[in-house]
Amino acid sequence: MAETVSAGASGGVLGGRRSRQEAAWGYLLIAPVMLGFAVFFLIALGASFYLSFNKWDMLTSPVFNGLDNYRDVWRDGEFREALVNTLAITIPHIVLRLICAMGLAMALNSNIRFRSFYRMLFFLPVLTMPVAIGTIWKWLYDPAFGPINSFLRRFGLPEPEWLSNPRTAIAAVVIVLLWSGVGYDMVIYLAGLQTIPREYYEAASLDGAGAWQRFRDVTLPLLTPTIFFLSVIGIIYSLQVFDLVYVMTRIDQTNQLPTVVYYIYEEGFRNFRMGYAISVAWVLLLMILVFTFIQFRLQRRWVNYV
Amino acid sequence: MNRGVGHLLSRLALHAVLLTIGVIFILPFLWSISTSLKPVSDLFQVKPSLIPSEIRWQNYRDVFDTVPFLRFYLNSIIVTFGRTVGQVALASMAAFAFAQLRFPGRDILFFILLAGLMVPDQVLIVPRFVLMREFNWLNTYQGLIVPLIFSSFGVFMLRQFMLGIPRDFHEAAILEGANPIQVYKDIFLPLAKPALAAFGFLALLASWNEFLWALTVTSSTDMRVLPVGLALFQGQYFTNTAVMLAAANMAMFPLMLAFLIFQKQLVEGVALSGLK
Amino acid sequence: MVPKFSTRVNRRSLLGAAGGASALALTGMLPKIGSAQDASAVEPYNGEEVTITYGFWDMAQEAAITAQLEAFKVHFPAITVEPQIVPWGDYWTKLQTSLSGGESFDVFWINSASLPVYASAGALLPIDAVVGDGGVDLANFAVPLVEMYGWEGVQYGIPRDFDTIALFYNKDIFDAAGVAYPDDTWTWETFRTVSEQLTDADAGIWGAGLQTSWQENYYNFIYQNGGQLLSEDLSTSVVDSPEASEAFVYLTGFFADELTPTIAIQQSNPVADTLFPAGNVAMLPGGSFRAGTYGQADANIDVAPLPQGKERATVTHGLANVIWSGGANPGAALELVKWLAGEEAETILGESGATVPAHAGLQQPWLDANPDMNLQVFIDALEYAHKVPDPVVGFEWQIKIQEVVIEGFAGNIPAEEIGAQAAAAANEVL
Repeated sequence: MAETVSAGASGGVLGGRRSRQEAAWGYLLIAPVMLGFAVFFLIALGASFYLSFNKWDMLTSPVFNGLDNYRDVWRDGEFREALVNTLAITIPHIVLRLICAMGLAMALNSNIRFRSFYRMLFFLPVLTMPVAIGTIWKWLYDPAFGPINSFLRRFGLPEPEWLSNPRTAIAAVVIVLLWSGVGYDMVIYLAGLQTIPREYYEAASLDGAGAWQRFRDVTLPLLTPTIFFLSVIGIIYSLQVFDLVYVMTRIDQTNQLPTVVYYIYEEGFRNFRMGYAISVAWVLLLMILVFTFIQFRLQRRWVNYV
Repeated sequence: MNRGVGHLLSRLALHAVLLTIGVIFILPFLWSISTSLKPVSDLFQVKPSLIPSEIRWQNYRDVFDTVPFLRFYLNSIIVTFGRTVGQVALASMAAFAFAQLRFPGRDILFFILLAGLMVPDQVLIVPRFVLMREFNWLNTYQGLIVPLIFSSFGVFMLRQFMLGIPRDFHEAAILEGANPIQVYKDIFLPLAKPALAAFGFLALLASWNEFLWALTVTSSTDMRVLPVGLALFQGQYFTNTAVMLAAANMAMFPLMLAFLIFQKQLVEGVALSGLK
Repeated sequence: MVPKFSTRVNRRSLLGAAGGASALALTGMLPKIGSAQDASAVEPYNGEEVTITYGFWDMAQEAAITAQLEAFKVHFPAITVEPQIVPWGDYWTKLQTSLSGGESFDVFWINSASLPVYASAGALLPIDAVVGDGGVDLANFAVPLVEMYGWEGVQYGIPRDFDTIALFYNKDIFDAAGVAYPDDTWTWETFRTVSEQLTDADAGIWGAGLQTSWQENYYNFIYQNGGQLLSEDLSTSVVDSPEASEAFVYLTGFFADELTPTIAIQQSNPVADTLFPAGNVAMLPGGSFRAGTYGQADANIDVAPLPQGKERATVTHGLANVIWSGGANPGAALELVKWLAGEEAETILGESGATVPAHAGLQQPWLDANPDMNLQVFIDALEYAHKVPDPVVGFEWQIKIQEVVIEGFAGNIPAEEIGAQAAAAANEVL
């Protein structure tokens, strides 16, 4: 990754003792988080790594079975289906979300009237319980009684079955995820916009830059660290999407649109194959790691740190 | 003159667009308010009406009669306060170090920290439960709070903002004899205020809604927090959605208040020159 | 950045070694619950002060359970029982985590599909010591309910309540169409014919409401047609039998001819939760646990026995109290389970109206709670009730069947092939 903030340039000036001191301060400042993280997370992660090589039903003792789990993951059609679903949801979700949230944040960062009201409005879905979101959207998508299809019917347009057809279900779910998450990203964009010094805009205006040029030359470049953050986090979270999709697409005990974490949950807790579920989680972890690593590698090409 | 009219029109257009999209954003909220006031017989409607057939405030009282809601509330406040303060303090320190200081292994340590976001909680729950049992922290506030104050998300988010602050600031202060803690406290915390406010609010939101960990480390009713309490209202065969949403609305209220307070922080931009 | 490679690697490998060791230690702390205790080896409760926990999920029964525990305290003043309620949606996650992590409920609810899984893993304490001469007369409980909680000849739990399936119907819709209400003479043909008569697409009324739930839908019809779900030794699914296939074809006909809401509609509107109580569906095969809710609906609802096929049949289920084999106070836990199976505890449960107690002769209070409905049919149904077979693998096989059946009802699989495909899917996991 190594974005190496202005590395090297001033290192020589400071000299060896300075840099040793700086390193000591660095370790000191990260120590609380790193130690807590090690105790409360890494140990469990290590245990789970070991368990991923075991047959384990959570009720009896784990039985070591070498690479069997990973070999099974490789061949597992249900896992592949869940992975395809997850990717099909993640890609449009993240792209649209980054764009829509930025548009909203720009609009609501201007000195427009009622801006507090609007911010609250677009943030409301973030505050709403997944169950409530699921219930209302299921009603909106209802093919027989729902408002969306009655609207389409009035204009003689085709009426999709939305949630019960796997193809339209992905679109339907992406819309809901977008709707419920855009306010969250908006908040982070808004915070990012605040850190852009007003002087930059003033300077650009003096140079005769119009609104579009100011956006292109000042706002967008200075917002790239935020965009980078949101895309990394967005992909990490979206690849683990579970609750909302499950609430939307299940019929009784079956799930029309299983995602990877749903599959992990189902295998581990419902089908008593926790060892296997953990190995699936490790495969997912490795995939997310690769995605994230690539993003960190590529950021040098487009992310502007001052 | 012409320019003024054009400006006015574009503003009106913006309002029109925002309001149109806004309708669908406020709908679930209105729906949950209206449903929370409905009698049970209204819940069976196929095309739910936004207006209850009769207003039933009793649903709100039922919440208190069926579960120790105030106790859940109190627990949630304690737990959220502890986690939010802890997360903001620890994450901002680490973020400053990761963004502004140079030390060997920095990037790899940061990446390991990020891995904390990449594993679904479900597969770590048993080892973490065993850890809590060994610490004797099951059914305690420390069990609810301490394991969740180390936020990889927060370190990453704040680090991104602090990377945007020129290192000159930092170097100048160091040359004047300040140590990194002073730089962090006197220069970076004020500069990162919008980001800290945003993260603080998001941390509060996440803590308030956190479910799986709270479910795992607590089992006695006394120690339950709101999200677990709300889930109790969902039955195996029948859920009284009205009472459940009455509880959910009451649980959501502090978050709305917090948002209103927090978003005021987002009005003023930072003037870099003022700090020089 | 040029990292100081050597020092970093050293530090990391050190950290790694320490972390790995503690991780392994943590794995080692997983309790060994495979070694089950024997009830006869359990020291009888000796009267000392103890606190035990009781895990369950239904908030609607919390008041009844509190009342039960108060009464229990009168008999056993030194035993304090702490009720611990868990949300239904997360009950099994919580139970598995806590059992696996070595600190769980002393006594808890279980359902029949989970019993063999937990019993075979040694997580449950056999309770043979308290049945028969030990105090609990199993003759007070219907045979299928008792069988649900035995595994390999050992009893692990005693049923506390039960449910059966019958035919709920909306009187208003029948009256408006001038059709006679369902009664115990009904057959599959009557059910089909009347469904056709009552279906009125323009008025938005379906004659039948066939749910997606297996328990309230196709299981009953398979048994009525003389079919079975699993072979005698529970090793294979036999829903590909002609009897079961015929039942699937019969039921799919309702979906194909739109006499019942389609799967797509049911996904947004579960029949039992909205369409039926709202008055859009005339008849609904449904469980006794719905009676209380329907008592509160505006619709005018009553209930009749399920129509019969080749024979009369329904499926039944009930929950039981079981004991964790790793608890610190098995003696006190046994006393609680034994007492909860007694007449006093079951009477308190019945009087709450929240569920139907399993103990024979104690159902009257539940009937009285909804006097407008002929709820007696649910109790009578016990006489011809079947228990769903429960193999050690849990209920994954039922979900495999369900996935195929839903596809079939949705019209994506030919009706004649549902049985064969469902059996094949189930056999993969059996």
